[in-house]
Order: sequence, then C-alpha cells, then structure tokens
Amino acid sequence: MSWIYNWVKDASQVWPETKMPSLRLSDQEAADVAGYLSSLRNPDWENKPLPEVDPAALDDVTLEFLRTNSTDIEAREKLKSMTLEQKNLYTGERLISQKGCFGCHQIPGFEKAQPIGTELTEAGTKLISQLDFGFLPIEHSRRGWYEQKLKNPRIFDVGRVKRPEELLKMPNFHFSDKDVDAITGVLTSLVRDPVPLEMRDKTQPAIAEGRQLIAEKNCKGCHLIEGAGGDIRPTFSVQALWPPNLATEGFKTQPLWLHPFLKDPGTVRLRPWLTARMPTFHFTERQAGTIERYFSALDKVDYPFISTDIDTDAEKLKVGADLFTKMQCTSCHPTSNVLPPGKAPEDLAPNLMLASQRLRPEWVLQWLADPQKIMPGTRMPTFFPATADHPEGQSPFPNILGGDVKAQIQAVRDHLFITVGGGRRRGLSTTN
Amino acid sequence: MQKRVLFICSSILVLALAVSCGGGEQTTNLPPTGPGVAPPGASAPAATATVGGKITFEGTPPPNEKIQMSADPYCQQHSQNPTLETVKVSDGGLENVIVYVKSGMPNVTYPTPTDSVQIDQHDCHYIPHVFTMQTNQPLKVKNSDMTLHNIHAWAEKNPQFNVGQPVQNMVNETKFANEEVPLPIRCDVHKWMGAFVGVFNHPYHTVSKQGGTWELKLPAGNYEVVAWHEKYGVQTQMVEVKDNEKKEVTFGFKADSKPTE
Ligand code: HEC
Ligand code: HEC
Ligand code: HEC
Repeated sequence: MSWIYNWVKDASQVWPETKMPSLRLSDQEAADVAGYLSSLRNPDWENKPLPEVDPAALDDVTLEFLRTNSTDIEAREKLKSMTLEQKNLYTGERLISQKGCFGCHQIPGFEKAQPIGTELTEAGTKLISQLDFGFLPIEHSRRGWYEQKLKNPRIFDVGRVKRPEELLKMPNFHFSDKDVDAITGVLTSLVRDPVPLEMRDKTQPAIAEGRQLIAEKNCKGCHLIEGAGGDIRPTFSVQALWPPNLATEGFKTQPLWLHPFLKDPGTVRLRPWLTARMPTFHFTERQAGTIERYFSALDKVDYPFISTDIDTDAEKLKVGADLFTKMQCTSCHPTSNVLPPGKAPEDLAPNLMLASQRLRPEWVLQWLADPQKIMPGTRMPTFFPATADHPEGQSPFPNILGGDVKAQIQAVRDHLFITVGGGRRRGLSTTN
Repeated sequence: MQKRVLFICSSILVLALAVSCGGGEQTTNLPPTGPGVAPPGASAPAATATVGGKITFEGTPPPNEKIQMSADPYCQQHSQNPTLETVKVSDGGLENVIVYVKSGMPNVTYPTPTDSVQIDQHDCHYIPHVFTMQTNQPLKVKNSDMTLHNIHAWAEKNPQFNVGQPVQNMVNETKFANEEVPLPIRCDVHKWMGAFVGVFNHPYHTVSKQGGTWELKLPAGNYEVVAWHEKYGVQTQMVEVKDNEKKEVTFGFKADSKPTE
C-alpha cells in the first residue's frame, strides 16, 4: 500500500529509469488511488502454492552449469557440498546470464553483462555462409533465413545434437506474418552507411525518432496524433473534456513555449477545465528536443529559430479590436483567469492572453480561417465560411476593410498578439 | 414558437410531396417498376398512396430539464422559464419524432429539392427542434438573436459544419451530401441549445407534429417505416400500400420505456 502510494505519487523517485510519468497527484489523490489499487485482489492467484522443487532435476541442471568451468569430478564434489538454497541461487544466476534476461530487465550484478543477442548493425550484408540453415529445406537467401528466424527462432536446432547451453536462445515473439515481413524488410536494409551523412534527409529520422518516443510514452492514449489515438476519449461525457488533438502542434506552437511545457506541464494551465492531466514525463533535454523536432518536421516548419514579431500598425489594431468585440470571441475564450459568471469550466476555450507567447502567428491566421480543417470536430467555429460565391470565405462584416477576409483575419490576429497578449511589433521595439 | 415548428415542418412535407409528384409525372408512360429494378436515371413512380397516423404517448411525460441561462444576459432576458424540448406531448401524441422510409422505396436517384429548409436561432433556442431534409438540399441557418451563436453540426457521415454568427438576422447556407439520421446540431456558446436533423437521399420522411400526427405520400409498395425519437429511440413497422390507397400506421411510445438502439 505505501509502496503503491510512493509509486503513483512519483514513480521516478522509486525508480529513476521508469517510463511511468508523474501526474502530479496531491497526497490525498495518491492515497485514494493507492487505496483503490490495493483493493483489487485475486485470491485464486494469490493462494496458488509455489511448485515443489525437484531435487534430482535441480542437481542435473546445477551439475551442467558447474561442468562448464571445471572438470566432471570437481563439479560433482562441489555439487555435494551445496545446500538446496545455494543450488537454487547459483542455477538461477546462471540461467539469467544464459537466457539474457538482463537485455530487457535491470538486474543487480548484471549491469556490465554483454547482451546475448547477435549484432544486427549490418544484418543486410551478412554473408549467406554465416547463416546457419540447419537441416531446414528452405531457400538459402538472407530474406528467407530472417523470415524463418522470426517465425520460429529455434527451429534451426531441429535434428542437431547440442548440449543444453548450446541451444538457440531467442524467444518466440509470436509475430504475425505482417510483422515478420516488416521486420525482415528492416533487417535486410541494415547496411553500413548507405547514404553519405550530408545527403540524408534530416526530417525523416526526426519523424521516426519522435514516433518511437511517442509510442513508448503512449502519448496517443490521451492525444490524437497524426490523426490516430485518443483512446481515453470514451471515458468523458463531453468532448470539451478530451485532451487536445495535437494536429499541427509543430506549426501551432512556438518552440520557446513548447519546450518548457513538455519539461514541466504543471506550470501551465491552458485549459483549466480539463480533468485529465498532461503528465510530467521527466524528459531529458534530448527527449524534449526529439518531440519538438518531430512536431516541426511533421509540419515542415522552422525549428528552433522563428520570429514572432508582428508587422502591423495602429489602424489595423483598432480594426482588429473592433472585430474581436463584434465577433464576441470572449463568449467562449476568457481573457482573464476568472471563470465568467454562469459558465461551467467545460464551456470555456483557452485563455487568449497566452496566445502571443504560445502560438505561431501564421498558424493563427489559418486557424481563424477554418478551424475544422485543422481539428475536425473542434468547438471553435469559423466566422468566415466558404460559399459558392466566396470560396475563400465570407465575413459577417462586409463593410469592415471592404469585407476582405484575409485582412480581417490578420487584424484580429494582430489584436490578439499585440493588444491582448503584449507581443512585439516588427521594427518598433528591439529591447529584449 | 409552436407555430413556427408547424410551419417549417409542413413546408418540408409539401416540398417532399412536390418532389415526389413532380418525379412521378415523368414516369407515367413507363412500365411499372418495383423496388430495386429501376433502370439508371429513372425517376420514382407517382406517390399516390398515403401512409400516416399518430405517435401515441402513454403515461405522464417526464418534465423537460430547466435551463440556466445566466451566462448570457440576452438569452436570459428573452426566455421565460426556459426548458429543453426533449419530450413534447400534445393531445396524447408525441411530437418531434422523425418518421421515414428505411427500405422498400424505388431504387432511383431522387432529384435534389432546390427550395431551402431553414433553422432559426431565436431567443436562444433552435426552431425547429427536429426537422428533416434531403441530401444536398440547401439549409439556411439564421440567427435572429442579438448575441453570438455558433451552429455546429456534429456530423459523423458528413464534414462537420461549425460557423459563428455574430450579427443579428444574418443567414448562412450549407448542405449535407450524405445521408445521416439523426444528425445532432448544437451551439457551443449556449450548451443547452440542441436540434436534430434527419438527412435522407429520398423524399419519404417527415416529423410528427401537433398531436403526434404525421403523413407520408408514397408510391405503391411494401415499406419499412421507422420512427425515431431523441429520448425513446427507434420503432419500426412494415406497411404495404397500393396506388391511391390510404393506410394508417400507429407507433406508440411509453413514458417509462427505455431507448432502443
Ligand atoms: C524481450 C524482453 C524480455 C526478456 C528477454 C525477459 N523479459 Fe521479463 N519481462 C519483460 C517485460 C516487457 C515484462 C513486463 C510484463 C510484460 O509485459 O509481460 C517482463 C516481466 C517480467 C517479470 C514480472 C515483473 C513484475 O514485477 O511484474 C519477471 C519476474 C520477469 N519478467 C522475469 C524475467 C526473466 C527471469 C527473464 C529471463 C529468463 C526475462 N524476464 C526475460 C520483458 C522481457
Ligand atoms: C494522461 C493523458 C495525457 C498523456 C498520456 C499525454 N498528454 Fe499531453 N496533454 C494532456 C492534457 C490534458 C493536455 C492539455 C493541458 C492543458 O491544456 O492545460 C495536454 C497538452 C499537451 C500539449 C499541448 C497542446 C497544445 O494545446 O498546444 C502537448 C504538446 C502535449 N500534451 C504533448 C504530449 C506528449 C508528447 C505526450 C507523450 C510524451 C503526451 N502529451 C501525453 C494529456 C495527456
Ligand atoms: C464557440 C466557442 C468559441 C468561439 C466563439 C471562439 N472560439 Fe476560439 N477556440 C474555441 C475552442 C474550444 C478552442 C480550443 C481548440 C482546441 O485546442 O481543442 C479555441 C481555440 C482558439 C485559439 C487557439 C488557442 C490556443 O492557445 O490554443 C485561438 C487563437 C482562438 N480560438 C481564437 C478565437 C478568436 C479570435 C475568436 C473570435 C473571432 C474565437 N476564437 C471564437 C472555441 C471558440
């Protein structure tokens, strides 16, 4: 119970390498979760007795291991001098070493042990003669061998006479044919430096690396990313409570906002009405960078150096302020930290005071033009719907700026960034 | 408010009639066609049969939820004791039920009505609360209020439509290309505001009105007729009609029945 409490409170204090993030639970919340979890019991399983040790079998295995570094006679002598517990401990340690459990698990005493698997760095150019086909009637090709290995890793031992410790050790991962095909594809492509470094496209590795980290941390359990995920959504009664869709996140956010947010999401309350929490993953600088590079590579935007200065003038800002009032943006968006009277938190939209520090100016233009295009299903409406006569959109205020949709959107954006958010005007102030 | 609902619904019905009758005139010289055998490009036979009836309601209607409008002073000023319109019963009949033909109609492409259907935002309510229309038929969205509404069609089979209307009496137009029943419409500024539209690719649909009555004009045939209500769900009946025949079909919902489907 107290172990569970400490774990859910901040797992990284218990085990620094854990993948489990911190949800910044209060003491009471952590106690509630721990209480609930420890009430989940399975008596059948808990009451299952440990299997009896078969002393003869244990002796056989122990002897086999003892023999690997001493003569048969010495080994038998040694065996005789061992208690049952000593045999168990000795054999267990040897088995862990032989089976390579430490390749996946952290086990004290095995920190420096070499992994037991074959190096795969150049699997794509490995000589056919180095692959042991055993007695299998399969095509002698690299692809054929890898496929067979993945489907049934130890089949090459069939018909061979080997000592127990010589047998193949790779576990069967029960891959589907599709997985086998995909992994074989990767293996056969692993060759030494296929393309000179300077000629490689840097966005592809950024995306691949980001995807991997995102899969590892299960970000898609909460977020829609690249159009997939959001598994948590059905647990909420209203859409307003869903964790945000991360479509266009790279194009949307300023690197100087995203970086500290990823490192410590607890400092920002962007959508105070959400009950779900963005966890603190204790990212290293490098990991946070991986995620940032991933989002910007996906959207093909500059990173990390961008300008957020706004090219505008007093006249435009006045028009922007007028449009902002007329369009009643604040009926959904608060511009202070006070909950407007009569509103429930879930009726609200993000506080627009943060926009100038958080959003990329060009993204806001596209967002205001057509929010559904960026996040299908969002509550944020367009005020400039496209019509047959106005495929670029039509403003409800045809007399402002001659009804020019682009100019109106820009004026609203400028108002948001400069007047509401206190952002910088291009060429005006260089003190920073 | 009631009058408006009636007006809109009956205009849709008239429209449906006009479409099916108009289509029928062209086919009078053709040999009779049954369901599923029409050649491509053919139009539906004349809708000379009438199917209709009453949606009966048994028991005490559950009271509709009261609405708290204080977030928007305009709404609060313009609505006295506002409630939702989930269950509306008059003369023992259930209103706002979408009644439509689900199967059995001639397998032809129905002409798209050019007349528009209208939904109005008035005193922070949708009028009508439930309506039907045909695919690609124009839908005019009006905001009669002097406050911001965003009309948001929470479509799953169509692209979502979500437009902010900050100017009193402004009108936007949209349409839905795919059949979708029911398609919920909501306002994200005033979360109590909700409406439902049924979008069909044929003209055989209507909404029950005062007294829970409804009527459909159909060509002779054997039909699966469905009644859908937002709280009580779906009921289905089979009905066979000949040309010029009039048949009554009664659906019945109970106050305490659980929603189906
Ligand atoms: C391919 C990686 C891999 C290898 C090799 C591996 N394990 Fe595991 N093991 C896991 C994973 C992942 C889990 C977490 C539970 C799960 O996913 O099944 C796990 C869970 C366990 C657990 C349960 C731990 C807990 O607290 O829930 C034990 C005990 C364990 N492994 C022992 C071993 C031993 C002993 C070996 C060597 C014989 C071994 N594992 C080899 C991946 C591996
Ligand atoms: C337990 C659910 C959950 C998980 C898992 C989660 N997030 Fe979040 N995330 C949230 C919530 C909730 C917010 C909204 C915070 C707010 O607006 O106050 C958020 C916000 C964000 C934002 C800011 C979105 C914006 O509006 O600009 C980013 C970026 C983000 N998360 C990235 C990630 C990444 C990357 C991962 C995986 C490493 C991840 N999240 C995992 C719940 C989650
Ligand atoms: C019907 C409610 C509603 C109205 C009216 C509305 N918005 Fe929004 N807006 C939203 C919601 C909800 C989001 C959050 C979308 C998401 O991240 O899921 C949003 C997001 C935004 C964002 C991005 C904020 C951020 O930090 O991520 C900007 C900028 C914005 N809206 C500007 C405006 C402006 C300007 C207007 C008036 C012209 C306006 N909105 C009117 C609901 C609304």
